[in-house]
Amino acid sequence: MSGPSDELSHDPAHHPAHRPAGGRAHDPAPPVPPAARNVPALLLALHRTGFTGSVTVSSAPGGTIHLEQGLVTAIETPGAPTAETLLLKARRVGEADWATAETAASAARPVDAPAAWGGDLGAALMAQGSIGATELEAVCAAAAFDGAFALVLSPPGSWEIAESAPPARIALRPGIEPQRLFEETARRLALLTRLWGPPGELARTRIRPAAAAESAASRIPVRYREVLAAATGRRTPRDIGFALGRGVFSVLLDVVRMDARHLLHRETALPAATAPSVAPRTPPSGPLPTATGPLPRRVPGVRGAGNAGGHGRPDSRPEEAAGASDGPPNAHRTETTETTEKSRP
Amino acid sequence: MSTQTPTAVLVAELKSLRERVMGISESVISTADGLLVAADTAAVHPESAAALSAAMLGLGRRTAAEVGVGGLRDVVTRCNGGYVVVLAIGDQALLMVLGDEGLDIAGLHRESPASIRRLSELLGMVPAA
Amino acid sequence: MRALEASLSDVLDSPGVVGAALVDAVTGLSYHSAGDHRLLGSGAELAELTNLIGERLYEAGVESELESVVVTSTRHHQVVQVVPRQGDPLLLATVLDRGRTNLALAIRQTADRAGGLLA
Repeated sequence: MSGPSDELSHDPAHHPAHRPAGGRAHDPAPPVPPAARNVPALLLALHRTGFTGSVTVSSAPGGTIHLEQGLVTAIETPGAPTAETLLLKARRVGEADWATAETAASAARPVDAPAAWGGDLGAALMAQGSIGATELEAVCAAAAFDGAFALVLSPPGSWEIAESAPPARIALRPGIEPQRLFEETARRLALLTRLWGPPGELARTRIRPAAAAESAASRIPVRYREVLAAATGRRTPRDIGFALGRGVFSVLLDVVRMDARHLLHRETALPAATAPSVAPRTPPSGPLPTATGPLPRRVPGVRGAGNAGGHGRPDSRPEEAAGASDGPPNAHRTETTETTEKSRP
Repeated sequence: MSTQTPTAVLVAELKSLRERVMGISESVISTADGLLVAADTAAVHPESAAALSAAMLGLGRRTAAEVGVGGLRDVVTRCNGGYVVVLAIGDQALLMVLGDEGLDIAGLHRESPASIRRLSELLGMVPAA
Repeated sequence: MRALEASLSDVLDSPGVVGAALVDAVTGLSYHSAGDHRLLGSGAELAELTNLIGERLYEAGVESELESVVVTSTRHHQVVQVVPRQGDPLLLATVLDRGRTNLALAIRQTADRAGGLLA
């Protein structure tokens, strides 16, 4: 069980890290980044032009979207575990095997690869028999979709495009069409909204097991028990995902299912920051207020007041037109826009 | 250093930082010589963390002085399972932040100055304006 | 997802298999589907169904893991096989023509294919 052992000895010209100097013959240099009013529109434009490089989004949290030939190969964000975290924390690949693969990947880099690039870690893992190609593809795809979902929950931010960014070390190749990411992300937002309420709010809620969960442990699926065991009361579903090596959306879904069965309590989430905070001059009046009890049920037709910073409802984000992009053209540019709702280009 | 500041107010600021920066799991405030001041912790032993973080910051400061790169801002230690970040609170105290693999480092650099400022005031090191 | 698509193509080559899909058992994300998979419904529906059944097994005090779900209609068997792994499981779902295979064989085939999927 392994990928072909010659995976690491690529023809450098076809290696993902290799970019011909000077660009393609028919392209003017330097290329002008496409005009876009938000990240989804940008990704569609980059798809049309077959862009290879990265888009770094600044937000709380932001993230980096890796593209090759216009397809999304990986997304890194503090909001969701990467493929690496999914494999290591779920103990699918041991730390020692991981270190071995890192060494092999580094050693197998083409001579002209950028110094910052650590090598094709996915190929190394397969070559040494740590994981099969099918499973690795599934994990990388899952991580990319999870990253896209996590980015939608962030406040709008600016972005920077980098054509010479090193490729992701573990990536899905070929990558995912941006349109497919948008559709799946929209489906996830709609599902959570229907089952519970604003996904952003749910994602920031810190959870702990309810008393019923302790007494009924044997009648709860093992996967739920693991989430409950990791639910310290300090952790959000995203934190639990990182602790267990599971996707943030996967954990959110399980949290919603467990909430429906009254297996959880929640600690009140503070509203998300929509801009970098400035500390108040007067000290707070005491410890943060907490509330315990089963997660609130969504009442049809009634919108909760606690929706500060919630981004879960695809229909509720006003499109703001501040995305003017007629600054000086160059390959690295920061644009400030008001929306980064990934589900609606 | 003021001994009148209620621990709860310090811990509230630590909790606030944890809310604002994704990936922070625990944090500890200690004096420059390693005595625990306040902690928002769950798994780590606060007194041990306080002592170790002071040692890290002290070593970082001496190193920075030795190689002549200016004053120390913070020490970021990256591990397989997460991050340990130690930030100075003036000369007399420090803040240690623990984070998981997905710690929002950019967010921490953005949000920590305000927290450091507030903690300085609360610790009586800087007069509030 | 070339290897994944190739794996699913292999499944489609089995006698009697007219459609197949590989789905994430928790999120319902459909990694790939091939052939005539309409009968299977969406990945999300498959995930929701198997999760519900899994929950019920535990509630009933059975305390065992769900292995597969079979739905039989006039002309087809649909077999949804849980593919356990270190991490969230996958679902390998197949549609089989009853005229070309029987139930025991259908379950066996799908289980075999599922076992070889992650190798």
